[in-house]
Amino acid sequence: MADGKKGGFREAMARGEVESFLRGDGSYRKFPQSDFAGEDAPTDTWKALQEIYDAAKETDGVENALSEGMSALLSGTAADVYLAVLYLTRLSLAKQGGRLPLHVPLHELLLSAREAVEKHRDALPGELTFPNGFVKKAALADIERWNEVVFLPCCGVDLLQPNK
Amino acid sequence: MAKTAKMSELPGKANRLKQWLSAAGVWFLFTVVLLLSAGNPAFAEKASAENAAGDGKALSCEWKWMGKAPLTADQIQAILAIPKGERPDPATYLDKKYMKRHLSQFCDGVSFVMGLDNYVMYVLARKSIGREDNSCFVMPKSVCDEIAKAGKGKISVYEQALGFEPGYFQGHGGLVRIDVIDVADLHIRIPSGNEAGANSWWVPGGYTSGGVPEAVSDLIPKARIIVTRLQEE
Repeated sequence: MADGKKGGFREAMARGEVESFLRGDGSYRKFPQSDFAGEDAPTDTWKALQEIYDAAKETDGVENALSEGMSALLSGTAADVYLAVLYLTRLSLAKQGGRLPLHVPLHELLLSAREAVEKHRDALPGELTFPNGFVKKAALADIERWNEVVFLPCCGVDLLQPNK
Repeated sequence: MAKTAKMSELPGKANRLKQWLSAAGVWFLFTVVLLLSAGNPAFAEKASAENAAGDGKALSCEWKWMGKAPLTADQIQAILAIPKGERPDPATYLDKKYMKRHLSQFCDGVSFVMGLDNYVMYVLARKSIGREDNSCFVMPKSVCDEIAKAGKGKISVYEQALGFEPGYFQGHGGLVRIDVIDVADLHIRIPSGNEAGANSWWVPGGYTSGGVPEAVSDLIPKARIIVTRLQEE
């Protein structure tokens, strides 16, 4: 059972460490399976979400735990906010493709993300360091791109316009 | 997987090279070279120039499949023990002929594959493909062609051949293959392990941990890519 092992989502949920799991802290960090298809992030967010989807099949409370974890990230540092937006991008694409197997309050989370991006607008273009040592540069450029190709056309939310 | 078996076989020359590199005296030299490369910028600069198949010049296509890198387990461990960012240029521990032959596999074009979601997130609305440190991991186009031919369009064959878990690409909404034919000026080189995309699975020598030949290119202009989407089976 992939998420029952050390560093898995169920362990994180049992310990109240969903935020750390999402962030890829310590043993929670996931690595891309291939040099050719990895993403530039502190943890492989696709793998993390797969563990969460798998856990939701057999465990109650996963949707709430994910929503709370996402909200916690959106209330965190600029690095946390960047990662939360990355997760929201994946969740939005999965929903659009009919591949999202659980209910997450995406619209509410996107509205929170819009506020969080505005709050950290000055820090996001710079260098963001995550607790596991990963360094992300020019995070705002990613957010701008995802806003253009995912959030605006699919979700009707403009992450870069706080008043819309 | 015929290709995997073929790649794992060392040609006679490579076997002899491996034995040669395994000799105790050479191991001592290798250690000295590592120390020199770490502390001598001039040496590192020279090595960097040697680890290049492009630099605006035409690639040499005289060599084909080489097999896995001629490095001993001890050599691999020694390199992996060096922190990312400080690892030596491959030219300091790989034979020039091996490097030339390895890189020649990429002269007819390079390829890589990604999930559809990742394509949307990391390729659309960008002018170039790759990471912020001017690197992009690629495989020879011939390898991707062979997988495509063997799989007859089945995504699962790509997953099996490239070491992804079953269902990986389906979970991303499909598979997108990217080919680049004109690579002469992309500075195709053997990865040093210092690249932003080099993760904990990286091994030195120019092959993935699953035995697929790999190299690193500079950022690839988007206008130069050929995109093929494979639909779900």
